Amino acid sequence: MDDKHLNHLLHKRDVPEMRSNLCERIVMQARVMREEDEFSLRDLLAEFLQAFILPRPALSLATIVLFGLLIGAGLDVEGLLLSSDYEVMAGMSIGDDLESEFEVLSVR
Amino acid sequence: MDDLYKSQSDEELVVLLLKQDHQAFSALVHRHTSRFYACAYRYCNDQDEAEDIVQNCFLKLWSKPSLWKVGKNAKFTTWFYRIVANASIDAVRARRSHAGQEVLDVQEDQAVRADHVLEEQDKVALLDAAIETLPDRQKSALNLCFYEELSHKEVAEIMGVGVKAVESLLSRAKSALRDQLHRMGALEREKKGEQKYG
Repeated sequence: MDDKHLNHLLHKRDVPEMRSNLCERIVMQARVMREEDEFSLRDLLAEFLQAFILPRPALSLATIVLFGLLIGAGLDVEGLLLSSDYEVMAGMSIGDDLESEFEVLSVR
Repeated sequence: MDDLYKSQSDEELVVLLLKQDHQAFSALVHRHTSRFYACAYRYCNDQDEAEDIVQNCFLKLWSKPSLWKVGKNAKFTTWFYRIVANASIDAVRARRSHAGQEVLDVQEDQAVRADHVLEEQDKVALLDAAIETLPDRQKSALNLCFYEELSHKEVAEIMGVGVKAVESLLSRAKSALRDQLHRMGALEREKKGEQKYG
């Protein structure tokens, strides 16, 4: 068998037509894959958030408030400055500065 | 489909895949499925399997577009031929390992059908069987050079060998096919002779 005859035979080998919907099948499958990916990400996020969901919100809130009060009552408040005290102190220092400036001006 | 995508090159579309552009993917699929299906079919000789191979290759690209290295891979089709060819070879190997000896038996059956004259169609059937027996690399060289009509340089790039090696593989493939057909034809004639004089 010569090369020409072999080439002729090789060309005789047919490839059957692919199914007409193959392209659409691939494109659809890709879309489904993406939706599945997005869905799993959403699932993961939901699962994460679920860890923070309080089983009994009212009871949890009441417990937190109670703990807050107990901690507050146990603290030594004398050593702490209240915000109103701070304002007074700040006003005093500003007042002192103004007074000294006024004195300087009056001397001139 | 948007004309914008139709006018873009393969390489530009693959870059868009990195941004999960589904329309770019669709454009690529519609543009190339037919050609890669034919390529896969030449390896496995099975329509369903060839379609599955092409589908899996495209979906692999869709799920991992980073496989395409921007700037490194010169031409999309050359790169994708390699993926399809490798997937096809793997599929055929897997099928062979499942089927075991069956494939060989079928080939022998095809070769010794005594009641047939070697018509053109029979020769083509024998050729199919002979191609099945070729080593993977020779089969790749034959499919890509002869059927896909790619240049030897492109085939060399796809197969990861030199141009001379491709030419050698192609020549050996053809020579092996000629030998196989000769042998099968001889068997056929022998059988006919036995019938005539037996």
